[in-house]
Order: sequence, then structure tokens, then C-alpha cells
Amino acid sequence: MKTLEQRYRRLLRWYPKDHRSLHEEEMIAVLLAGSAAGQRRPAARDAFDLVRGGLSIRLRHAVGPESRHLWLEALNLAALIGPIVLLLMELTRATGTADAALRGFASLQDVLRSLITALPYGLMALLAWLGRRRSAALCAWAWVVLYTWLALNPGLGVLPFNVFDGVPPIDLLTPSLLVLRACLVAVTLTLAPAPGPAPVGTRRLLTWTAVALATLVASTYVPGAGLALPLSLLAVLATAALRSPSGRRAVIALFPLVAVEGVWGQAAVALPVAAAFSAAVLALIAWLAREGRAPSAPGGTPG
Amino acid sequence: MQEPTFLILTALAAGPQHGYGIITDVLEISGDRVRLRAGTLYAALDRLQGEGLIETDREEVVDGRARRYYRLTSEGASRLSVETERLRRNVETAAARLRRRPGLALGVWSPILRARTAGVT
Repeated sequence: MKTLEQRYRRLLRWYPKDHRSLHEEEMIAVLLAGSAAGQRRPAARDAFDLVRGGLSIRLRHAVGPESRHLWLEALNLAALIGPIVLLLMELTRATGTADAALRGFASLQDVLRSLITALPYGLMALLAWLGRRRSAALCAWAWVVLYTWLALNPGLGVLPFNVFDGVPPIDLLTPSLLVLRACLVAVTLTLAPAPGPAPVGTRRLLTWTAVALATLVASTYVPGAGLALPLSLLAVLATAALRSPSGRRAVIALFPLVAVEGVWGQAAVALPVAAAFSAAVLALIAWLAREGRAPSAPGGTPG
Repeated sequence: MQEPTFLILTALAAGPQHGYGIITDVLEISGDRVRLRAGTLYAALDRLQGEGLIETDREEVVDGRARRYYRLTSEGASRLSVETERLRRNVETAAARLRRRPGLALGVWSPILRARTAGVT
């Protein structure tokens, strides 16, 4: 049978790990000192108070002043990863076109046209990686304007959904969603004060980029793989990111981009919802990352 | 500043105290009115440490358990002083206005207010 102390310890699991390592024993001592003789279970009000206290500390550590530098790191990382993600997707699409060209279903011109949408993201990623933040943001906004113009003039046949004549565009590739995607990258690059791979490291980010490209390209060739390979890769990357405080925040910063790609891309009606949600998420992160420096809390590391 | 925060800072103004000491002191200061629970206390201590108003003074091991003492920082003392002055002005204003009200000066509140204003002036 569990003792009162064990039950209190169970309730203390609601607290962040670093807070528990510092304060668990003294909290147990306080709780036991305040309990009645022969008491076997925590009082309902004490249990509620402990849960509320744990959640309040978690929330404060997650969005409080001491976590600003983590939000800033996440924003800077997301500003670099955003264009890389879109570059990889466009390169995968270009690979598919190249494959079609090799089989005689597309021309060399089609391959070059499919690369047009990949190159700007490559340039943005390179500029961001080199620390040329303003140039990267300018490039991103210029691409948004050009992309919108190209989308409004489908007769030019430049955008990928016009590459193959006679194939109707699928929902995922509707021009408005592609423009929104480019917009998200531009907004993130504008909000991030110093885009770069800092918390991940250049070497690791390059390795993951190469692995991601190989996986995406392979998924188009492995029969029956469908979305299984990209989703597995996404799961592995997300698991690795969730293990660090700035990684968790970077996942939140990149979520709008992934959501536009994978979830809402299926329904054009969801575009305003996706745009409003993305704007809200990015505005919130920019606000949480403001200044980016604050005195660290003696209570522990933010979660 | 919320009342539990004010009372915790007041408890620490007398000297460093551990968690259970703060709870009993706050109970006494508030005339058995505010009984802090562990969850509320440690959430407040975490926040106050983050704001630099309190800090860890020392640690002891009693009956095999860590006992951490907290103390007021100079910034915490300054904030408590500002808050005390604000409350004192409010109490004085309320007392003065209530004294001017006919029929209430000799009413049930007047001895309490008189005692409180006497205590803070």
C-alpha cells in the first residue's frame, strides 16, 4: 500500500524535473509537516494546490522572461530551417520531373522550370546561414511578390503545377497555399534577428539536411512508400528536437509551415484559418523572444 | 502585489526562513487568516526567485531531508517597502474618510481602523 509520502511524490511529478531535483525533498518535508497524524491520502485541496502550483511553474518557465533567449534561439533556427525545408521539397519535386524527363515524359525545359521554385529557397538558406539576415529577408519578400505574380499568370507556365499539361493541379499545390508558404518563410526571416544553426550546430544541420533530401528523394522511388518515409523522418527529427528546450520551441515555430504543407493543404477553404493561425503563432513567438536576454531564474532551467 | 506575496516577503523581512517556517509565520502575521499550501508557496518562491526578490540563504539536512532557507534580497526589501508605503497611504485615506462619515466614526470599524492607523504611523 502506498504511503502518504509516496502519494505526495506522485503529485510532485507535475513539477518540472529541474524544480523537483532542487525542491522535492523540502516540499515533501513541508507537506508531511502540515499533514494530520494518521493521514494516509493527500487532502483534495492540497492535491489541487500542488497540481496548480506545478502547472504554474511550468507555464512560467516556458514563457517567462528567463525563457526569452530560448525563444530567440528557436526563432533564429526556424528562420534557417524554413527555407531549407522548402528547398528540399522543391528539389524532390525537381527530381521527380528529372526522372520523368529521363523516361521521356518531360523535357529538359520542364526540369529547368521545376528548379526555378527551388533556387530562391536555396539562396535564402545560404544568405541566412552566412548571417546576411537582411539580404535573406529581402530575397524572401522579393520571392513572395514574384511568386504571387507567377501564380496570377498561370499562362506563363513557370510554376510547377503548370509543368505537365493536361494534369489538373491538386489541392496541395494550389497557388495560394504556395504563396502562403513563401510568406511564412519571409515573415520568419524578418522576425529573426540572427538566423543560424546555433543550437544545432552547422555540421549536424548539414547532416540532417542531406539525410532529409535522401529520404524525400527515395520516397518517390520506393514502391508503396508513399508518405511513410517522409513521416518517419519527421517523427525522428521531432523526437530529437523535443529533447532540448530550444528544439521544442523551434518545433512550435516551424509548425505553421509543416501544417500548411501537410494538414491544411488538402482544403483550400482552410487557407484563411491557416494564415490566421500561422500569423498568431509567429507573432506570439516574436513577442516571447523580445530582447532575448533576461536574468536566469535560480529555480532552474526553463522547460 | 498580491496578498500571499506580500505576506511571504514580510515573513522573510525578519530573517531567513525555510518553507514550513514561512507557512507558520504567514499564518501568524495574517491572524490565522492566510494558510499557504505547499503548491502555492513553492510557485510563489519560484516566481520571487526569478524576479530576484528572494534568494537561497543556506541548506540544512534535518531528519535526512534537505531544508532550504530563503532570504529577502535588497531588491525584495525595497519592493516590500514600496508596497508597505502604498498600503499605508491607502489605509490612512480610508480611515480619514470613514472618520468624516456621520454615524460610522463610532461604529464597529472605528476601533480597528484607529488601531491600524496608529500602528502604521
